[in-house]
Amino acid sequence: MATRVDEEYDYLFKVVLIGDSGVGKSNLLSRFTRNEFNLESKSTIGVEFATKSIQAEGKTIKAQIWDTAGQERYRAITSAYYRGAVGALLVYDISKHGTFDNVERWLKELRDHAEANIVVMLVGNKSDLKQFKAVETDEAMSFAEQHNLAFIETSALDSTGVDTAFQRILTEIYRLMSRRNLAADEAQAGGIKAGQTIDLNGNSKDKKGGCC
Amino acid sequence: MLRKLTLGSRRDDDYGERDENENGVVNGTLKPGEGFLPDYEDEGDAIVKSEFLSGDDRERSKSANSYKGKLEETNESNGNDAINGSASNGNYFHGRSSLGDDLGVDDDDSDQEPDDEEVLSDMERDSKGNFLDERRTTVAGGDNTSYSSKEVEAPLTDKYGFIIDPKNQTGSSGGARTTQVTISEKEKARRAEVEALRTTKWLAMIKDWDNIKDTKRTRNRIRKGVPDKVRGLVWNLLGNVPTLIKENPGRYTELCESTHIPSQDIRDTILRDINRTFPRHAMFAKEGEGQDSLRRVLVAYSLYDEEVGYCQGLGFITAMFLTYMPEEEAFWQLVGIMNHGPCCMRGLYEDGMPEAQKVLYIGEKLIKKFFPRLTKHLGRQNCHISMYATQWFLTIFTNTFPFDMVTQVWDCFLAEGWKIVYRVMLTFIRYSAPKLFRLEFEQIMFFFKQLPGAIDGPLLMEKAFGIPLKTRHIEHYSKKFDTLNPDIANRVQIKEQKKKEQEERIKKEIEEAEARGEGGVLTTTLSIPLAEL
Repeated sequence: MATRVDEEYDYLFKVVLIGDSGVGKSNLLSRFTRNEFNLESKSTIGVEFATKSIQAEGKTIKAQIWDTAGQERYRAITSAYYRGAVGALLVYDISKHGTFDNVERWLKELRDHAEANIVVMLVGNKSDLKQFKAVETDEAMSFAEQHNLAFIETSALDSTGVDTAFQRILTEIYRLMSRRNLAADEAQAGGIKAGQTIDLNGNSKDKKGGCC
Repeated sequence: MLRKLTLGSRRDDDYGERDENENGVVNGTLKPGEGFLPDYEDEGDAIVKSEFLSGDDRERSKSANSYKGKLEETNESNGNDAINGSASNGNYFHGRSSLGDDLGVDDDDSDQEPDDEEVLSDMERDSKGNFLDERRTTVAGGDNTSYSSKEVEAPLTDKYGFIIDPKNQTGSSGGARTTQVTISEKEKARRAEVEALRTTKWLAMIKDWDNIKDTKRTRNRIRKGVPDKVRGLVWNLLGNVPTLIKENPGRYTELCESTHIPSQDIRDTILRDINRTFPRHAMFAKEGEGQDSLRRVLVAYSLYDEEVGYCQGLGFITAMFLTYMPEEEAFWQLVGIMNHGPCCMRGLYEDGMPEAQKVLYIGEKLIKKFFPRLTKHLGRQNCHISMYATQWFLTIFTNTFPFDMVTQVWDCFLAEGWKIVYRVMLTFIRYSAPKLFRLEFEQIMFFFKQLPGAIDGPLLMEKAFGIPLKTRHIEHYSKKFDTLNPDIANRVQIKEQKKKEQEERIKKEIEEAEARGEGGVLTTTLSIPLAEL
């Protein structure tokens, strides 16, 4: 029998990694979940999947992260994965302005296929390539403000900002969800009880037991 | 041949001390004595390896693990230049096999189909003769393989040219790509002998190709696997490459030298994928001839077929071709599999990826048909086929699976088309089923991620032909998909209809303009949208 991989957690959030091909989505994922960076990484075909749990405001939050192929035509397959996602990291490469220009198209993609209240964070990856910087931080920041997105610059290579990016988006999702639940509680005088877990679609289920 | 010689000679230093590799440690990946297969249990064979192998065998093992180019330089010629020129991996020509015949598949391959329902339940229960290495599919388990310091120091390649890195062994991360599971020395020697015997048979077959290519016997020999030494040549014959080159003289060079370049988007995507395609293969690991060839073929194809341009996934397939044949042949092989014959892969990659959706649908339905109970379990776990099989189909297994399996799948795929792809998929499921039943969603995902590293390629292929899949099953679901998705099914007709309407409209406008005496101006302005269709 295989080892059980599910540990105890309070919340399970589904997050997608999107953005042009070659911006470093897969390495952001491996840096966050396994603290690994692979210089010899391969193009992602279809979707890949990984998980990691973090602590936020005293709760254990498990992130279920879907890494998607970046080429535009793959959206025919990958857009199905936006469904049920409560967060999206929209990644561009700070050394290639073209990948930032496409951010707007990715936002449209999210508007068309994802839940309306999905939390989106704009991520300028490869911040270690300072000498090749083609997208200025101010430019990206004002774009993010304009579109109501969170924003961070990261480097999957030297780890800068990676944990912070995931920590921030997951905490943000958690806060939004608690606020929403609180509102629901007030409305229904009921809501989610202790020992239950909110899943991606807002349904509640029994809390997972500890590792056997 | 030239290409490989260059690459081989660049790596001269790497081969000095390699006799221990094949004999002692399977491709430097596993400790001796890690047997897993009931049929081929390793009973300490690896420990008595030196007694077990004859002198000739030791030589053979040494060279079989070297890089192809090196082999062409140093090994004795087998006297067939045509074959050496194509691709050669192992020097299998010394020992004659005493084995009566090839691997267990019968020559007449009657493909008997027992009653479906009965098979289903049997298939879901029975996983005897499993090709999966249990330890390598242990979910959330670490790889405890240990390595001697000597192996860590020497950068090596396996017989397909993949660099062996002791720290990076799992199939999905792109390390060594021969089968990584433990196989006894006895079984390895048996396989080598079978390969030698088959090579002799194939040499005769190639000479007489036009007469024997459509026979059942040839089909069955292909199903058993084309020997690696003649593989490039046979793939060319199967893909009709010589004819395509003859019919399009100089076309490839023209495309390479064309001043017309692909769109920025396509160009960027190709360039970004070049060093992300088999980064652990000696030919493609660094900037150089291998990467240059790959880039040229992909760019040339994007110009040859502007509607498809380039789609991620094609890089892996093209790179695999390049390890077996020169650039121009690899290009026409790509043209062939995309547009002609039983493969016809073009629809997988064009905008909207319509055929990718179709093969995933067919795959899903076939799994449901053969494994209804497991399908229910997977459904309850919200595990959809696109989560694990998208890359299987879009690269026909090339991007993560062991190359002894991949190349054998391609032997058959080039000859017969998609059936083998579904067969292999169903074989994975069949032998994983007992395990999958016990797993939950995340564990299932990790299981599939680790699957490539746990497969014994040749054994899997043997089992794949035992799956009672029929062409009519595939056709049935194919038609069903077309009925459910008329837009996708009729996309070619719809596109042609639109094009025709557009052309007629333009023609009419030109005629009207000419009647007004403004002909020349309108013709030039209107020719642009027509070309963009």
